[in-house]
Amino acid sequence: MQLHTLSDLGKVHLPVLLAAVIPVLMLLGFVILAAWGRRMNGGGWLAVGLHGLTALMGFFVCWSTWQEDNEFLPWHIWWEWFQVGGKSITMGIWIDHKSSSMLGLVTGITFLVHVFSLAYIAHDEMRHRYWGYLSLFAAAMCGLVLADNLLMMFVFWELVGLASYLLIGFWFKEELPAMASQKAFIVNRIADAGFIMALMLLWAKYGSFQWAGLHFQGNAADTLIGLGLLIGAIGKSAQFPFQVWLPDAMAGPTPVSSLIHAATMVVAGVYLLIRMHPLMSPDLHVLMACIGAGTALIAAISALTQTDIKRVLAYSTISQLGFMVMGIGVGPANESGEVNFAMFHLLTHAFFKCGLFLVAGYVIHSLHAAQEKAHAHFDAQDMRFMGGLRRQMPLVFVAWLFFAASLAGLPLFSGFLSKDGILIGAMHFAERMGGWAWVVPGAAVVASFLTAFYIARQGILVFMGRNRAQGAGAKEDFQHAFPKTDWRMVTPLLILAFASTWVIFSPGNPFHPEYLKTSAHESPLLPWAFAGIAVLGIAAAAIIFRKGPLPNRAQGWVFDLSFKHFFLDDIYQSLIVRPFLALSRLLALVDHFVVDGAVRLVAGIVLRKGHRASLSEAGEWLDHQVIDPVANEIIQPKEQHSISRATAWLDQQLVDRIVNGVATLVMRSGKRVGKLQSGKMQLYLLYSLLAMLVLLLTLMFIFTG
Amino acid sequence: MSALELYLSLSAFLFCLGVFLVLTRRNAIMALLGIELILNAANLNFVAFSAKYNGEIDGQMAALFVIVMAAAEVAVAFAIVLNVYQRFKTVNIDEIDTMKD
Repeated sequence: MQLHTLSDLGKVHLPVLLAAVIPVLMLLGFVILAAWGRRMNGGGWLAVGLHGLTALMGFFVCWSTWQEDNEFLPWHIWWEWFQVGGKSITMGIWIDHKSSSMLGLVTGITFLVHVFSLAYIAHDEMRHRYWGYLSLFAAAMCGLVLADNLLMMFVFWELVGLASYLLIGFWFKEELPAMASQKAFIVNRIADAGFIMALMLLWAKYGSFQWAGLHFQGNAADTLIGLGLLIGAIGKSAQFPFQVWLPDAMAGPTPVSSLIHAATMVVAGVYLLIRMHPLMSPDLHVLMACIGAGTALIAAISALTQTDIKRVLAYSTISQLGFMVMGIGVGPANESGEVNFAMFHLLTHAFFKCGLFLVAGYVIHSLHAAQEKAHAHFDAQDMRFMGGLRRQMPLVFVAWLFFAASLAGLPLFSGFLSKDGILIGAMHFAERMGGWAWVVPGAAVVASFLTAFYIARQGILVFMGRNRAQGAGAKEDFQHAFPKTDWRMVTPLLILAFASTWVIFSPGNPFHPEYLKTSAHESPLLPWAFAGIAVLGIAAAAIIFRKGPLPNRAQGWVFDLSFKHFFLDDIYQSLIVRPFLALSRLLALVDHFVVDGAVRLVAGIVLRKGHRASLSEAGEWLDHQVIDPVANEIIQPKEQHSISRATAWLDQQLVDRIVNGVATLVMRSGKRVGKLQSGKMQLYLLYSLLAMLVLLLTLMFIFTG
Repeated sequence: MSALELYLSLSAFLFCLGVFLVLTRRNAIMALLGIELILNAANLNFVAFSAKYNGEIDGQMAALFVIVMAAAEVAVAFAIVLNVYQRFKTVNIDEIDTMKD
């Protein structure tokens, strides 16, 4: 339905109206917090209240769409945004099961992260900025999932990028977060160039940005559009070869990492691919499957050796996003032609990954508090100095068990439902393609084994065994210095733990997702085989790490390969960053010697000439050579005496006084006027502005009479 | 007020805000922000007049041109600010007054 005037809003279906209000409310929250947040003692409670409200609205929208059958959807409203060159550009809201689920997810997780942050960020001086940025982030993501066309999506896409830049660099006074935020922004910018080119091509070919109804028609333009969108999406979703920004983005506050990895930012790319996959050519689907499977494997290998509690999870996210991208690539293998399982995995992953990050945040936060109390100093994110924390935070440990089981893909948990769907889809894909294509499901199966392994390793290092803080110089009473349970932090964890089980996603059948009517689960043994692989991974980790972290000597190039994420950063450093810096330095040298040199040369020549032909020299020469001989010729020596006296008098009384008077006048006025030249640029600007005003007013009087 | 007048009022407001920033902020970067506001006020005028009096997109093209130029201007301006900072160890415009008499 098209809206022409504001009064048309009255005819809009209530859930659609509410969905449209959500991002507006959040933006309003951002404006209020940006303007008055500091005066409101940070404005944390305002932000939490606002996002509680939007979470309720998002939940209602999500619930009402799932009451409807697919054939009555989408609910679609649009209105004219602006006209240019006779063409009209629209904005609109598109609500179907996918976008409403995303909306519910984004608003819900944002609310939980807000509640968690109340305690986490409570003592930060700049927390008013934190709340404002979070609102902007959520608003951008909600706008993105509701958009009915690619241009509108792109606008919010960029806003998401901006908000993530601001939040990753939240502690911008330290070097690491500042660099990490720039890295994230620049890498995303490179990928976004693909998105922009796709937009231009789309406009040139179809004259519209609407994505509804687009499908692949077998021509080169469609392939190129698809490729551009794919490049944009793998930049935002941190897929090979753009994934380098995500591990560094850990430098931001941990709840922000949780939000970035779960509901906002990285899933935007996957969502775009899910929306646009009908336009993608079969070749691009194969490419997506390969990129996804490769990234999943690379990132899972990298997660094996990380010592930072958050970095493990960062690589885990890249790996899981790889699963989703692969799920889209192999998607058409399902008979329905939909990419349900990628979308499904996106939803389940969001809950347990958000939970895992919040657990990491809780652990880091408590360790910092304990360090302060016990005067201990060691890296609070290094898992080698943790261990045995289940005694200090039993509830958090239980919640962590739920999240980890879901990530590993154990039965009864949400990850089991979605990941197996993707794996089976990949097997169908391999069957269809034959031969080499078995690499794709092969990589995915290995990656899911490694997933179970690395998450079990994390649990063992953090929660099991004995506390190793003493090895890092902490005293014995360190274990008793932990703060009491903070319910503002634990409650969101428990809610997320509940959401990581099968109950929300498939209440009737814990072993098979009810909503997804596909034939993917035709072989009943396969899901159990995958669950067995996960158990194997956990068992392997339990055996290897039963005595704590491996000693440092058990390292070689394989370890380095994993620890440094296949040296991707070093490769980019030497292939792109260093040559670019060298070029900059070369240009600076050219500037210094050629351009500046030319200027200095000209200046030197002028100055030297000026010396030689100085006026005083010329005057002296003129006096001696011309005036003296002429004067001596005209006036006879006898008369000279009396005349010269008279002249002397005249000279002293009149000429000198005039000359001195003029000189004094010039000097005094010069001193006065000279004060105008204060060196303060803003004063100069003010003078010229006043002069302009006087000029304009005079002109107005002249021309209007 | 007609639509055009609304646009022009907004543009005038932006312009004054920009001039105010440029004239009063002691931080060079804030002054640069003011310059951006002034440029965008002019852009708004371009587009508004173009939409009102001319079905073509001349005004929009001029605005695009200004945007590109503004990007270049910002690059140069920040290079200057960086150099100023390296030399004077401050970006406070008031303390950089070696150009005085």
